[in-house]
This record gives sequence, C-alpha cells and structure tokens, in this order.
Amino acid sequence: MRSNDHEYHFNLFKPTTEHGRRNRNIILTMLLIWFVAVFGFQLLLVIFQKPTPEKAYIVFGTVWEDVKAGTAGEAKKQEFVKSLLSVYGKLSVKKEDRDVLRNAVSSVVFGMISDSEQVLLAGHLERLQSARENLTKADQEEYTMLQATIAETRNEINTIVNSPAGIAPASLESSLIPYCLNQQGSELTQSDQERLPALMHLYLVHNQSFLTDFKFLGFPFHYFYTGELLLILFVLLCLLYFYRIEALDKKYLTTVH
Amino acid sequence: MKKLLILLAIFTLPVFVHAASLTQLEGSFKVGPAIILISMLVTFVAVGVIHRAKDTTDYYAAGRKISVVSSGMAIGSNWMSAASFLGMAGMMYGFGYNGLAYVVGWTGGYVLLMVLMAGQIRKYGKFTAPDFIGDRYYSQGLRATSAVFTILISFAYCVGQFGGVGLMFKWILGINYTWSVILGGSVVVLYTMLSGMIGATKNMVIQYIILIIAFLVPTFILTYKFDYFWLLPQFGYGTIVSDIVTGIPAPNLAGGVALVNAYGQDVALTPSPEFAMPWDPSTGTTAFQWLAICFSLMVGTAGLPHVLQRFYVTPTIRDARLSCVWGLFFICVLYWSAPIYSAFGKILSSNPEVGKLASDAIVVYTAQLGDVHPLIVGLLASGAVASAFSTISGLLVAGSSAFAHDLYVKIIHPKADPKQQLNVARFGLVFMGVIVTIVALMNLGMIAQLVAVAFSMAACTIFPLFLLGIWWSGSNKAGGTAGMIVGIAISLFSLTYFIVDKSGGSLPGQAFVGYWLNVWYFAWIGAPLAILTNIIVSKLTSPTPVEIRKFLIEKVHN
Repeated sequence: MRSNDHEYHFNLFKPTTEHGRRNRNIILTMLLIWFVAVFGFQLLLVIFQKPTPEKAYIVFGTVWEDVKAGTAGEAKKQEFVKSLLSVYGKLSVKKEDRDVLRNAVSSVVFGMISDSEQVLLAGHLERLQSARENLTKADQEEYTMLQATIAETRNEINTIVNSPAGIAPASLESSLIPYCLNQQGSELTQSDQERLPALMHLYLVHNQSFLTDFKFLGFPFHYFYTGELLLILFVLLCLLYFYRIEALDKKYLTTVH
Repeated sequence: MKKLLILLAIFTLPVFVHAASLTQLEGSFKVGPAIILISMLVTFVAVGVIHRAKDTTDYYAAGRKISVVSSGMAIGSNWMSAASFLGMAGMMYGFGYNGLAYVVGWTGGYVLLMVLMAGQIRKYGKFTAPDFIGDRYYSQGLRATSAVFTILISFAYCVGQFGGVGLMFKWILGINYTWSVILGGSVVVLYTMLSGMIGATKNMVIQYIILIIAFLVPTFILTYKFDYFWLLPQFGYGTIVSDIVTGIPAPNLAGGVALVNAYGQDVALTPSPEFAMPWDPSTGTTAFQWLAICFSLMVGTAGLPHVLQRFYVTPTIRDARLSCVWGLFFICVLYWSAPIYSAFGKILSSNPEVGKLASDAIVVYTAQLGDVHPLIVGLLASGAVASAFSTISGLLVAGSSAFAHDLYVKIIHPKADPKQQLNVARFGLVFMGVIVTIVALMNLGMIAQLVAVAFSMAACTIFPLFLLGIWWSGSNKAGGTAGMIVGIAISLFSLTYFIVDKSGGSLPGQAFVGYWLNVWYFAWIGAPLAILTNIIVSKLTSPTPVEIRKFLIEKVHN
C-alpha cells in the first residue's frame, strides 16, 4: 500500500500488499454480483419483453370496425361490451379514459334495448348516481339505507341490460356494468372513436416474456426475483462479505477490532 | 372471565366504525388504539429520561457502546420512516412493478454501505458525516457545506414524517391535525433533546419491535382470512399477485363461502397484468426510469448523513459491519411484507363502490377493508407513529449534530467546552423541531415532496466524497470541492425545474429535464459526473497532504 516511508498512497485498484489485493478482489466481486443481479436481470426483462395483448384486446380488435361502422350484430356488440368492461374494471384507468369507456358501452347497450327500457334504465342510473353522491355525506342510518338503495338499483339495471349484453348473472361483468353506463346512450363522438383503440392498447397490452409468464412459488418469476430474491441476495452478500473480510483481516492485519 | 370481557369491551368500544370511513382516516377518538399509543409515548419519554446524554460522545455517537443486534434494529427503524411504513405499499398499488424499484433501491444501497463504507467509517472514528468530510478533505468550506446539506436533508425529510405523525394522531385521538402535529412533535423532540443519540438509539430498538409486530400481524390475518398461504405471508402473497394478473371471478369462494371485503362486497377483479408486469405503459413509467430510480436510491441511501452516522455508535469495526448486516435484514423483513398490503389493497378495493385507494395510508385502508379487528388496525397505526418517531429522532440528532459539532464547534467557536457543545446541540435540536413543526403545520405539499430530492442530492454530493475519500488517497480538497460543486449544480438544476413544474410553470426543455433529470433519479448521471470531476481535478492539482494519506493507510486501511 505504501511506496516508501515518506510517500503514502492508497488506491483500491492498485493495491501494493497481499491484503490489499485480496480486499480489492472481495469488494469488486461483491459489487459485480450486486450490479449484475440488480441491473442485469432488468436488462434481460427489457431484451426479452414482447408486447402481449390480453384476450379482451384481441376480441376488441375483431369487433371494433363493425361496431364503429354500425354493422355489428348482437353477438359482436356483446363481445365489444365485455372487452370494454374488462378495461373498466381495472383500478389503474384514468378518469378521462373511464368517461370514454362509459360513453362507448352506453352507446351500444342503449342501442340493444327497447325505448321503454331505455327510459327505465335512465331513471335507474339517475337514482344510482344520486345515491352514490349522497353516500359520502350520510350518517350511519342514512348510509345503510343508501347502500340498500344502491343494491336494489343495481339489480334493476342488471335485469334490464344483462340479457341483451350477454352478461351472466352474479358475474364480475354484472357487478361492473351499472357503473359503466351513462344516463343517455348517445352515439360515440368522433373524438371518442379515435381515442378508444389507443386507450384499449394502453390498458390491455403488456410487456411480457417467459420471465414474467413462468410461475415460482405462486409468483410471476420476475416479481419473485425482484421483490423477494434480490432482497435475500442483498442480505446474503452482506453476510458473506462480513465473514470474508473478517477472515482476511485476521490473517493479514495486526491492529484491527 | 367477566373482567376480561369488560376489558375487551373497553378496548373495542371505539370500534364503531362508520362504514364509509374504511378508505379514509376518520378522526374520532378510539380508546383501544389510544391506550396503545399513549403507553408507547410514555415509554419513549421514559427511555429518553433514563438514557440522558451525559457528554458529547453520548449525544453524537451513543457513547459508542451499542450492541450489534440493537444497532441493527436501530439502523432498521431509523431507516424505515412513515413513508416506508404507510406509503411503500402505495407505490406498488399505484405503479405496479415500478414500485419495486423503491424496494430494491432502498435495500440495495445497504450493500454499498456494507462493502464500501461501514467498517471504514467506523475506523475513521469521527462523529458525523460532515466531520469526516471536513477532516478528510482538510477543508472548512466542505465541512460547512456538507453540514448545511445535512441540516437541509434532515429538515426536508422531517417535514414529511411530522405529516405522517399528524395523520395517525388525528385518526387515533380524534384531535385536529394542528394539535396532532404539535403533540407528536413535542414528544419526539422532548426525548431526543434529552437523550441525544444514546436515548434515540435505545428507543429505536423498542420502536423497531413495535413497528415490525404491528406491520406483520395484519399480514398473517389477511392471508389466513382470504385463504392464502398464511404461515409465511411474504411468500404466500405470490398467489395473490398471480390472481390479480389473471383476474378473480365473482363469487370468489374459500371452502364454499364467498369471500367479501368489510363492506360485504365480492372480492373479484378483472385481469390486471399491469399490477405486476414490468414498466407497464398504463402506469406511465419506463424501463429507464426503473433503472434510474433504483440506482439513485441505492447510491443516495449510501450518502444520507443520518444513515452514515449510525455506523459511529458501535464499539468496534467488526460490530459496525455486523450491525449493517442485521440492519439490512431487519429492513428487509418489512420490505418483504409491504407488497402484501398492495396486493390485498388491489383485490379488496376492486369493487367499483370502493374505487382506487388514496396512497397516504394504504396499509391502514387495506387492513380496514380486510375487516381486520380495529384494535389490530390501531396497533398498525401506532406502528406507523413508531416508524416516524425513530426516523425523526435520527434526523434530529444528525441535523443538530451537524449544527453543534460541525458548524458551531469546528468553525464558529472552536474553544467551546463539552457542556457548551451539548447545550448548543440541544438548542439546535429544539430549534429544528420547532421549525419543522411550523412548516408541517403549513401543510405545504411542495416541502413534503422535496424529500424526493434528498436521495439524489445525497448521491451527488456526499456519496462521492465518502467513496473517493475512503478508497483513493489521491482525492484532494480541490477535487472534493469541484465534485461537490458539480453535484450541487445538478441538484439545483433539477430542483428548479421540479419547483417550476409543481408551481404550474414551464421552462425551456421542461419535458426533457422532467424525464431525464427528474428529482427522484437525477443521480444516475449526477453521481458519476461528480465522481469523475473529483478524480480529474484531484489529478490536476496538488496532492493530498501526507498526514492525511498516512492516517488513511494506517488507521482506515491498516
């Protein structure tokens, strides 16, 4: 470590003693493992990732042009509504995107029911919206009543729309659709028509690969690796370093600890 | 038996919870949680009184007599703030896989600390981070600058913690936010002022035990209740993540019984791969951001003064290293568990009636939606207070030590006797506590968000000085100063754009800087640049004085 008694120089990369060399090797090995384990794996994810659509996106792609042109039959409309609902059910959807989805579902569903049902549905939707708005400021007694109103209104809505929209009772779609309807089923605007495909792509296409599809202890592998294994590795690296450096210091150094 | 029932009734009396309040922190008095909280506060003050600092070594470095496991627990609780405890799960809930960049960044930094710093810092034998910098770079300017940075970082960090304390006190005691902050702040300032690092460390051990029990118990309950592998929830939640990716049909059954949240709504979810898939477009994040955040947090962690200061409290170098291992393990126990809350939060809030949860206290909302007993939820909230207190006390000691030891004694009044030093440190701590309380009461969102800059700022300014100061004797005063200037310049540049953006304004290249030099991760380029500058300038200027090189070789690297 020192070139002579008057010139003291220390550089991790240029050790002058056996202890220094071994110390450098341990440190660089640890840092290399640490760096590759953290960043190398993420780079692998980037290299192997492929934009992978959800089933709902593929369904949407097959029916969208017909729905947009107004030539879709009942079955296609039903598929269209279900594909939109699977986006609407995601918590990550932004408010402005929810509005577009709601407009799209409403325009199709209102077109699938009779005029008298449309009037009834609009009334139920208004009641649902009003009850939900009052919920936040209600006391305990009112809250219970409002919850009952909401449950009852949802059932009324489901009774009207589930069958034409091809939605099974007690299904996830059934619980979502009352919230994905406007009070008027107006036609989709030009702007909404333009935004919808991009919006569906945004929420239904994901970066996936064999590293994300493979399951380990129930986890998607990459999630397990990053959220669990890396942390275990960090602790083990620190422990290993501790024992290695202890042994090294004991062997070579005279005044430690 | 009757007495037991009465006791139970008293504890659960406040558990009348307005059904609408499960996703917000309702401010009504809750007897059970209040008893837990008040007992906790009394304990902290008592420990502070019992372990009063008698001299400056007690105050700055806990008398250098903290055992390995205790020091590890103190490292853990000092590190895990209210943000880790309450908000970490919120990151994963809102940003999916990108939230894991924080988990990895905030733990991976300890590998750097262990390998590059822990033992060497202890061998150097100083009291504070600025103390090391001032001596190693034989520069009062660098000492003063790093002391000011230490105070600023501690200050920005503290404000957010006080906000967390206010939130939890308000929820448990039913008092308003102002009194919550004043009460909570007074307790932590009182015991830290009396005891300095020694009492703060003793309390940190207790606080770690409280916070980890409080955090883990609901995870066992939730996994058991919703029929996942509950014996080790940290692994059991993997199935929940996969369920979220593939979707959960309604009704979701366990043993033939429909699983519902506390509102009685089905636990059901449309397929949501965005929760787990890397840098999902719908979260608005990219692979570059993941890597940059992770790197910046790691390097920033290894440069935060209140973290570095923890390695001065152990009796030996061996203990400093081993306490780092323990500290990381104790931190990981919580970080392994935080994603459990985000996963349960996701499925329990899946019903459109619940909607997206606010990220301020997601663990509490999740426990409430999972219908965990209110007393356990109260314990969880008290754990959040413990986590905030441990971090605040560490920050207050770091900030006041920088003021008293590095500014007052080393620069302003070098002849101050130990008693004067202790008084100045205590005065500095109270002063800092009062200012932080005032700012926290002003509820300036901007200040709380400035904590984001702390990591990258520490990574660009303090980390390079420690790294090169320890491992290269050629790094000299001119190099250190130049590196510091580059680090500060990049920090100020990013900070300016951040403040302008948050104020609704715009500067040239706003989007470019907002993406590539974001306050959370500008250290990805700032830290290497500061290191490079330090090396180049050091090479071009006069060498480090021989006595410092000699000290480095003989004392630090032996």
